[in-house]
Amino acid sequence: MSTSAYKFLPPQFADRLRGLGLGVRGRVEGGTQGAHRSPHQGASVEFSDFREYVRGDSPQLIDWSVYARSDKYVIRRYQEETSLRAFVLLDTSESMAFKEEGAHTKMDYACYLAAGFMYILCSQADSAGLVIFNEGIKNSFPPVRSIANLRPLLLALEGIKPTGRSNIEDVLHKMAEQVKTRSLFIVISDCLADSTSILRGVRHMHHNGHEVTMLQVLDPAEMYLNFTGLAELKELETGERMVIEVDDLKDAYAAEVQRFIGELRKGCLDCRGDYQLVSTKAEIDDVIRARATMV
Amino acid sequence: MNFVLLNPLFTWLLPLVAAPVIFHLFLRIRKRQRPFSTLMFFQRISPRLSARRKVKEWLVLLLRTLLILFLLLALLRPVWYGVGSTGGVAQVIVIDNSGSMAGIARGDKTKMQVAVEAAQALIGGQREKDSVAVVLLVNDPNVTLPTGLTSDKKEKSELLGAVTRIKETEASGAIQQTFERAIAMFENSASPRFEIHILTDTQEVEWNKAPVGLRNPRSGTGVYVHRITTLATANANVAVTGLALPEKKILVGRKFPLRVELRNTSEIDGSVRLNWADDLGNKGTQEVPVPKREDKTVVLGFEPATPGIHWVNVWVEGDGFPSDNKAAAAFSTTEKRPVLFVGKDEDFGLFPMAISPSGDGRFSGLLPVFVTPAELVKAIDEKKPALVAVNWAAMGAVAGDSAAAATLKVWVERGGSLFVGPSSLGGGPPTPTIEWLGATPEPLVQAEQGFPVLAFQKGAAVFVELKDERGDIFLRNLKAFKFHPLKLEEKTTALFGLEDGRAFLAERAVGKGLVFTCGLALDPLWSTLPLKGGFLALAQSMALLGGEAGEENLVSLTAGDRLLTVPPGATNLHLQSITGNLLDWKGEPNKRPIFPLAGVYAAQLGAQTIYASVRSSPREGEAQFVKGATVPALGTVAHVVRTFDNADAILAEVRKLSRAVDFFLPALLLGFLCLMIEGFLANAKPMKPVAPPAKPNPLDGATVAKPDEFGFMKVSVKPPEKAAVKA
Repeated sequence: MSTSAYKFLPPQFADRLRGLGLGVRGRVEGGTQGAHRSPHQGASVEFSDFREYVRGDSPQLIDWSVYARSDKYVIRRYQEETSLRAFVLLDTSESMAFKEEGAHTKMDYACYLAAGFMYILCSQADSAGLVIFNEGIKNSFPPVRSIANLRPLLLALEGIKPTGRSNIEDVLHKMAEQVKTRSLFIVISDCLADSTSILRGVRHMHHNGHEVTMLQVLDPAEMYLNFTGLAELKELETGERMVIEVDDLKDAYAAEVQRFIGELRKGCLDCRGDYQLVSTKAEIDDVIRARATMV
Repeated sequence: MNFVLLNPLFTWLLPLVAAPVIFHLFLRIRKRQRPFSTLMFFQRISPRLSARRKVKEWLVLLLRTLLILFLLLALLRPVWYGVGSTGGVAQVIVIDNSGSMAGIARGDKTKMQVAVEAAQALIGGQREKDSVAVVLLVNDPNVTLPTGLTSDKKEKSELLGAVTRIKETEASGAIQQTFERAIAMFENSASPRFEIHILTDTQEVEWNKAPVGLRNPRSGTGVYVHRITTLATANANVAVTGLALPEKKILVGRKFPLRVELRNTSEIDGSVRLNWADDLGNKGTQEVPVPKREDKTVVLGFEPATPGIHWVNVWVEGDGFPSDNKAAAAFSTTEKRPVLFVGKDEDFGLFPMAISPSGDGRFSGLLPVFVTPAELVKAIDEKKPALVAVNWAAMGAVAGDSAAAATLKVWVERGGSLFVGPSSLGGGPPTPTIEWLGATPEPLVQAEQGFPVLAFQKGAAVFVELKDERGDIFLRNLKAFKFHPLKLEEKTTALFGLEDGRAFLAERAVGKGLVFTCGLALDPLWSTLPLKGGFLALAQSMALLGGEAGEENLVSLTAGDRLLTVPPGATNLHLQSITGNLLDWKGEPNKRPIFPLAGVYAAQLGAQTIYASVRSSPREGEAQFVKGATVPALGTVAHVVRTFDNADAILAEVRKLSRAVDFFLPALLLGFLCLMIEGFLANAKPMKPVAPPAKPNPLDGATVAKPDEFGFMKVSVKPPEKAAVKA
């Protein structure tokens, strides 16, 4: 596969990602043998536990050494290892078009991240799917296992135009119900919605056994206002306007953003998920590397 | 108690108070528009901050509006009279001494007497630290008043005496000049407050005229108009509106008419007694009925017996208002005047006889003298004729002599009358002729039965004494048997002619004199004109019309006027009354006073004497007065109009006014206070949001024990205190 054609996965970027791995904390259910723990026991080298022999079990499974010591028939069980199914949930609402201090718009930045994560997943023989959403799911691609099969997903990234409003909660609920097997969901969004609603979706995912990695992509100017004086702000998604005296609100705004980020972070961690605040000023490689090395 | 704005001009700036509101609502600072990802965080923090900011904004707006309002108030200088206390007061009392003040105010007192009493009360009521001056609306040279404010007790006493000498004049006043004289007196005064008290009847002819560029008085000046009401009278008011002397030379021994013009300005039919007296002791009187709102002309006859300056006084008695009843006229008379006939007696037909029927100048004052063209220059110089009559043959000789023609022209321009016509004996038009005659004779026209003749310009001065009561000219059924039609130039007026418009007698003004060009001889063979009775009057009118040397020294004025011009270079002027009001004034010509009363005055300027005939101002008898709360003549000057009651009341009012509170300083301080608060609010540090209360961490205060043998750590947590739970 030639990667030179992909906007969000240029060869140099792919080279830098080569060798990175992406893991999960919990057990996942993959379709094939893989490197991740499965909730099931099966044939593998990883010892799991013992259980008493019952009628119907194959006598070949009896651990005779234990029988010799304890005069009991027990069977040795092994942890099944499976591949990882991951879905990249990419927010394409209009607020993602914002760019002030960063090198890219939040959308482009998120696309780079999505491409990078999908590339890493396929590189380690896991499968990666893509869900593009704003108010609802706009487009979805089932998980693919090879880099070659990533092509439609990468091309889809290139065709994204940020439009509409974002409804992360709804999308998380839908995906939690649709995906029956335990999977990893990498949510890439600016998460500019009510934190309570977002976390409801995250908890739903967690309840269904999925693992969530939340990457909140923000422009630095969104974290602290980098302008002064009287300004009339126009919200990208709704067109709503507000006149503010920036100097009056600067500190209050930064504090409110930090409080919001704190809520999201805590909510994600409470659900054994990952949360990562991503500034569009940061190097994309570093962001991916930070998540990849988390395991 | 009343509230007065001392600088009311600044009320025009009051709309400025709305400026902050306008700026706030319509001209807000241009905002930078910028797209932003979300307003979520602003909406979370702004409900508190925005409300506080809005309150602050409106507060600042209110303070800015108040700031401008207080500054404007300070500029307006509002003063609340009647409360508080203050220092000395500088008062200028303006007394209206115009003719209308001769009207009755109450009982048998005139408005002038009431005004004088009020002025005396005001001066008498002065405190030690007060200063006062009196200004007259008509600057009467017979009343000498101090020219500035005085606070000296002795000078005030003298001023009181001077005020008693103030009498009403027969003139109209000049409000603007008087008011500006009054406010000029405050210029060097150190008093904290100034008052102008105007004692007047507010007659409309003076007080209803808007001023042009009237100066505002010094700040802190209160202007009070004390209106003295007029008692209605049951008598008619008949005014002498004019004395008209004839527009002719007045000769000794020749009777002349003096037209006295009367007007009844009231709504009551009146009957007055018209009196006259002249400088020779002649006098007369007659009863004259004048219907309401009508004019009447009475013709008086005079016959001066000696040459020189004479005068006549005319006055009316028996009406309800005396100040417009007088008039005087000065006139100049000369001896019998020759009329030069250039040519022979038979050339002029009946013209010499019409000039002097007796031949010696009796009755007409005109004496015919016959001279040759060669003698003309000398005769004009020596005899000073009233008229020069030249026939065409002689005119050719005169025109041929350039010196004679020039002398003739100069003489005419100075007021002489020239008659040019054909000889009774016949003969064509003159060759050469004089250009400035204004009419050129054309070939002779004849008709045995005669042409009917018409008078073209009935209003011409030459016909004044030829008119009947209806205004028609006595000369009727005239016929011309032969004549030379005249070709008239632009400024020449046709007097007689035919129905078809052809003229044969024309008049032209040259300088101060007149030129009569005739196309027929004044002989019965040429027309029936010399046979008519009115011919004498026509011939003598031609001789007497025109100016007269020395007349420029006679001027006619109305009381209140001053000599309009004085010869340049004159250094001393001496004004003396010849008849009427006594006046004897000497001084610089540019400081010459007005004539306050009717009469004849002689103004001596070096060797020259000017005689001024002054009549009383007829406008002063009009009984219309300004009734509103403001007086138009004071324009934009803030003033208070009060109806005058009595002298004690005005004094009490003035004493009350002397106590006042000036709001200048309080308004200024309040404005400064607003500025300070506004500055504090506008520049205050931005407000910070109130942080939400921190949730209690359940692990706060927890103690962690060392790991046990299985590697577990025991965490013990204290239960939260009640107060913390509430928080």
